[in-house]
Amino acid sequence: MENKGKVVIKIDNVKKIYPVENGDDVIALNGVNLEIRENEFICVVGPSGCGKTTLLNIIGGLEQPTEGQATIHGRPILGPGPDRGIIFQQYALFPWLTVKKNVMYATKFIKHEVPLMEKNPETGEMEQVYTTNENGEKVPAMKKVKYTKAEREAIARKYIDMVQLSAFANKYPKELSGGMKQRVAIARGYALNSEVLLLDEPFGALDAQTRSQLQEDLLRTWEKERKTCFFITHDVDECVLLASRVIIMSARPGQVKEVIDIDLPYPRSQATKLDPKFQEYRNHIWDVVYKMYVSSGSINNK
Amino acid sequence: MKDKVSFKDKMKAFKEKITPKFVKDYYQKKEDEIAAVDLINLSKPVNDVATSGPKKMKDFSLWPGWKSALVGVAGVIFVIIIWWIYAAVCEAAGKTSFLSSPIAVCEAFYNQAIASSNLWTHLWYSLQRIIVGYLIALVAAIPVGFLMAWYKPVRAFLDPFIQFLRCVPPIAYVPVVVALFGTNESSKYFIIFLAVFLTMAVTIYQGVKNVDLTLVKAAYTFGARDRNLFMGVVVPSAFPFILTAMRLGVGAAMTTLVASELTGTAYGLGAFINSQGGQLAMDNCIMGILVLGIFGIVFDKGLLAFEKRVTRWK
Repeated sequence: MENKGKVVIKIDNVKKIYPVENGDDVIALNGVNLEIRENEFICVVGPSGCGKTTLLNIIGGLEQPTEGQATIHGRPILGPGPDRGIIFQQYALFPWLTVKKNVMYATKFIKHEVPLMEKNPETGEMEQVYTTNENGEKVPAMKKVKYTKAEREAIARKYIDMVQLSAFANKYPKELSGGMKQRVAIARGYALNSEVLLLDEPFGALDAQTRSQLQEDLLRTWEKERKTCFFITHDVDECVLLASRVIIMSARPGQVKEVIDIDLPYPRSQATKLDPKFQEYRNHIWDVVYKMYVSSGSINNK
Repeated sequence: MKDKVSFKDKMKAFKEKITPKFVKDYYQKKEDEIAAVDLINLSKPVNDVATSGPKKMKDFSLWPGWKSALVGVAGVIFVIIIWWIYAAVCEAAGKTSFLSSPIAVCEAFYNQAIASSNLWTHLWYSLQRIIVGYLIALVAAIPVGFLMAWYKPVRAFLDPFIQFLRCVPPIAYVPVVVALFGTNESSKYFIIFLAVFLTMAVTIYQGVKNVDLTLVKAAYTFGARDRNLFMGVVVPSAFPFILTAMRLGVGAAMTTLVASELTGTAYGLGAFINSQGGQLAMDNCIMGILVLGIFGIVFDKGLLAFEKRVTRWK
């Protein structure tokens, strides 16, 4: 890739060890280095137990590395935050909220900047307040405020429309199918408007047909917004179809085995799978992952 | 690391040493039996599904509600008839104090509830006790249930008391409560409170324990703080359990009412049942029991309807 964007997230020699009583400690991640750049769609594949989810949790701030450090724009990641939205495999929708309220929850705590206005004592009208920036220039002053309820509703409506669930906005999650629930979760992830979107095997629990449909939906929205995505999967076809860059991880201990730039033009669709180049990538990745399965003993039974 | 392994080996050797010979023989015999099975020449399972499939259980999933109601009513009528016949047999044998007939019980209800207001006075006293004991228990059980689930030390501290008190029927500590509180209303409140509180605290604790951690994680990623998490995720998640706890609490209050009114009082449904029983006035006694039970059913159905309304999302 020629025009590489600036680095958003940097994983620097991250090691994660889970202590086990009366036994050998599990090394989930053993010195992982990774850079996630702006507008990238990264897919991580690897055999089960290679620490994919641990890596996502560390970026998401849900877990802390034992050694090394994960940073976002150079700041260390200490906990979860609205700059890194996560879409979980188990949907994680709030069952007591309707679809609309679920999507609105994403904008409940975040703030945005609006022009700072003050009442002019002479005219009695609201006027923009100005301030000087570090270069000594006069710029409009801004203040951080939460979204109003109307704004949150408008945002929710936009993303519910995007995933084509407008007719279900007032339904509860129990009334939706698995695919629809995941679409709501995606809408909620987008409504957060985070810098990076982390997706933890979001389509893993869905049937093949629904999965293809949602892959296409995700491609459409990504092609529009080019939001930086970090997508975990164990499905080789899925990772080649979606990713601009694929990271293959190896298991026990979890390490980055290979990084492959997927040089297939967007927009892509299920038809992209017929492209001979797609087949090449797919076969190559299959080969690497399958060999790891055998050598890791997942198939050979120790 | 090496120390651990050698300790394990030692334990293994010790186990080997203390295992009696007949146990070892038994395991050896089983091993030999399994090894002796010839899988290759084992005959195939007989396929006779077409002729004799297992008989399915009757499926009642599409049964309409009115049929269930009809069966319920028929059951009640059946029991009343049996009761009637048995009461007639008792009467013929000249043992009227043994079991009163349904007619006698209806007469007793007329005398106590319509001709006089005796029953309502008793009911009013009981209702007061139930409401006061129940509400104090509810107010106490919600924070205790949450704290027990949230903070392990709280649970560790309270667990022995809760487990202990759960094993003791409220009627057993009546004398102690009388000695502590006297025979005034507070002793009744306390007994009902204790029974309701235990039931509710345990149920609410279970509910908070069951909160889906993925939801908590999701809320964190949207920028929620701990205090948002409590009102926004934990309370709604545990809400169905709180409602269940409230219903179980009503049951506990009703069943301990009679015990609470053994602490010296002339009024209250429990006291009424007891005193009438003591005077061998079986008609009044049975009537009191029926009123108590029906009262409980009405309470429970009311709460159930409320629960269905507020947890439509479940």
